[in-house]
Amino acid sequence: MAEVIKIEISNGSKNQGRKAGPAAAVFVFFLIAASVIFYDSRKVLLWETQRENGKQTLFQKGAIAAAETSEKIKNRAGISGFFEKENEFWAGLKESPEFFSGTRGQYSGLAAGSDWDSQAVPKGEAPSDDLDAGENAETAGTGNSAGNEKTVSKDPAEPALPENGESATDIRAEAKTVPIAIKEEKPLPEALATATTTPAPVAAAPTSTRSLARKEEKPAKPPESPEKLAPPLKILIIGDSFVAVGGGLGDPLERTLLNYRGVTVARKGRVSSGLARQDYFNWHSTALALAEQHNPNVAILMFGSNDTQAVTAANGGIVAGYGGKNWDREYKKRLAEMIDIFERKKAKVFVLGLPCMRNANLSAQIAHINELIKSEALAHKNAEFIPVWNLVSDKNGNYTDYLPDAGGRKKLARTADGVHFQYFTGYLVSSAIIDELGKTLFLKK
Amino acid sequence: METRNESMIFPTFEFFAFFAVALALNWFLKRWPLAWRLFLLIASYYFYSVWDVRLLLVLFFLSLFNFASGYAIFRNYLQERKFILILTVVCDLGTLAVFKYYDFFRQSAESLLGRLGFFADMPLLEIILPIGLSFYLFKIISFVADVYLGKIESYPGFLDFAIYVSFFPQLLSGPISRGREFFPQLAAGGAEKIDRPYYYFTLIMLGLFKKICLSSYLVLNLTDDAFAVPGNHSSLIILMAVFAYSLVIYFDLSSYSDMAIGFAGLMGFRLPANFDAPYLARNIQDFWRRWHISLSAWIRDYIYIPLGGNRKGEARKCANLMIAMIVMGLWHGSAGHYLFWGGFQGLGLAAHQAYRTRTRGKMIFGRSGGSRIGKTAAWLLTFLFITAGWVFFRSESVADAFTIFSRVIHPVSVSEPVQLYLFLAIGTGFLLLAFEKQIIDNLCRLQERLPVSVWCFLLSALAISIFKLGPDTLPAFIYFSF
Repeated sequence: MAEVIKIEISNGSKNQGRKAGPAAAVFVFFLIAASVIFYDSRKVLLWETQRENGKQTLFQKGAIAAAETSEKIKNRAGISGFFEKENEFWAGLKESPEFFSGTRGQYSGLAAGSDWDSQAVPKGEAPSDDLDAGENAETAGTGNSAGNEKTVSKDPAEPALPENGESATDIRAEAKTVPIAIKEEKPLPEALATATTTPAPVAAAPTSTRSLARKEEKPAKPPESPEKLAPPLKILIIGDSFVAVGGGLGDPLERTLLNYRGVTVARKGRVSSGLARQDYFNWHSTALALAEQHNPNVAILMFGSNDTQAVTAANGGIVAGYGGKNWDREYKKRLAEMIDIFERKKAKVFVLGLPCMRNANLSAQIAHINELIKSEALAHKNAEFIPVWNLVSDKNGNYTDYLPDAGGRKKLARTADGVHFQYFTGYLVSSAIIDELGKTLFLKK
Repeated sequence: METRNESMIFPTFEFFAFFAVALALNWFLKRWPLAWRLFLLIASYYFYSVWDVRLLLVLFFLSLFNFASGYAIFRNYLQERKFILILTVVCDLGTLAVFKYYDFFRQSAESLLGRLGFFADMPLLEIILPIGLSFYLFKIISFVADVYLGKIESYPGFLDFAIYVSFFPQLLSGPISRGREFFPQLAAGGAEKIDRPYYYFTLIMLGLFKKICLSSYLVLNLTDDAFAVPGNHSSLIILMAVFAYSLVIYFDLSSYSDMAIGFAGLMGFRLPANFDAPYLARNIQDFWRRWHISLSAWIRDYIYIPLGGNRKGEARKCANLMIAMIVMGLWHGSAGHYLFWGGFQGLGLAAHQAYRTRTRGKMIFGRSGGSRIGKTAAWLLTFLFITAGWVFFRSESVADAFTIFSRVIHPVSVSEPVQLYLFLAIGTGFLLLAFEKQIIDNLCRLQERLPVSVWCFLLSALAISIFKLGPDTLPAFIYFSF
């Protein structure tokens, strides 16, 4: 190589150093680019194949072609196993709860049982074992007092709640039994599909120290009902700041879920993101990567609070201006694509609704998005909609800064922005969500 | 204004493929000057068109319009050089205002009219800001102003001018180079050889590392969350996030500049340096000589000095500084917190000038001289002032910024663990801040001593490691939204 690349030593100043013939620089750059694409061909394929409705530029195609060729070479040379293990090593390192936060949006590695603050719901008050939600959801952390402060939502986005004697969270009067659908997987790029046929276990390191403790217990009993999905339950939670931010919803939900046997949780949230603005953050490609990486059998999605704006493509071009039927159609299409990603993985999908907001205009817009989310979720065989609005509103379905705790005392429920949750609220909502999950998933402590 | 994280930005494989081909063609075509120039323009226009072809039209028409105006000024057509200059600048800034500030004005006007009892429903244009507009418009304006001031001796052809405006390594996020630095390089056909190959490759690798391994992780795992809902985090986390954001914004912007300089250098062009260890500054004035040098120099040359600079007394000088920094804040965006940040910086500069005048230059906040304790105190105060300014810059509003400050000042004890990597990332970041120049120099010297084959292997291994360590989704560059 030294004969091919001629690097002339100049007699210039210390600052100049050596000069290089252009051919040398071109060769070195090609070498670096080729090395990266060859070595990390899997990432190249994931990054470059999932952009903007399949439209690919010339150089994207070139990068993809190079990566596919790399995958073929690795397979033929019998070294793809090495690269699989190497990928797992890096994934494990990045998933390590002590070192990185991995796909969990916030801080991980929290020791089981530790509280965020004095107002946190103690571990002992987590949802009961009884999976009959009709009887127990009422007392399982919904915040309703023994004296009947049931919330009745008048939000048009959600069905009216039963008022007396029934669970405030038993909202699915019209729910249908959802069998687990089995669908054909959409074919991945050939090279990536080949690469994934050899079993690639999820990163060796557990995603949570709390789930590690649970792994050593005996496996749970078979589900009582044949429809319920049995453990192991690999749950992926994705969404916007409600999922990302500590103290919102994602963190309490994750920690509460980890109390159950055979449950592992991966969480990825992105502040200020949503489905509408792919130019800001592309959840479509991210969800594909996460589905590939974690292979969940349960996915919990929460989007919409940042989506009261135009639907745009990844390059910033407007697909549909905000408001109107065109926007509704495009937004539902985005959600449908997200649900499809996980349905192709044969995962059960739960789409969470959005809470009311302090700003009345925003709240009205959010209510509309809830309608769209709900109708789209219910249109999918393997998806369910779990409303959140009524869990954090007053008895008239309106926004309130305060909610009663189990003892009937009013506690601050929302943060100063009138959008996000306090930890108390996060646990309250998590309990209700888990009650709903328990109708489809076998959850046992 | 939201940022974009798709399409052909520097740390993507698509860009690597593009640049590999562009680099080879650049050197191959140099023997034919016209073909080489056409290639540079086509490559730059292609690079920009990947974002959106319509944005390319904006770029082209702005180039055409300003080229014609500049020529009219150069030739003194109609004997109205000043009028043509003013008209051109107004049109350019008007373009920027429409794309960047229309929604802000619309919302403000509707809000004000609503309070007065008039309800207006102004059209919502939902304009997407052409990426890089702020940067290349400033390049264009600097060129036209330089023509007026007689600093351009020989008027370039349209091809050269269009290349200057659209040169892809610096198109999206600077550095904002001046025509009088760029045109001679074009005229000379670029360099015959790459004069500092190790330096340019080092800059590219360093830029990738800063963006992918440091800035992205701190954004995804600390600053975004902490700034979004400060009330839900402990004071320690908020404090870490505040200091981490100082690192984030520096690494984000300087990484792009490093890579831009590196890529341009490999093509035979020298771009101006954009940062000079800014966080080592011992006073606010020194900071602004080291931070985003091309932008602050632009503000100095085309705002501050035309306003009178320091030639019209102390009071006027302070006023000019305030105006210049408010313009700096406005350049970043129309939101109130950017204005507040600009004003905050202006106040700092004005206070520094007043202090300097009173102490007649003998001050601890000097760039040299003074005791070690004095220098350290000066550095610390300057760093804390700048960091406090970034809180306003990053927060969603001025009120949010004060929420963050109150969270720091009134400690809240919340049990909230922190990953080891955050400490490592912040620690590495600060070490890099302190010793960046030495690190670059030492890396260059080390590379010179290595056999070429070993050098190539190490560069490849380093690039692979950087991508491996990076998160799965790359946050956009902060300055793409300005």
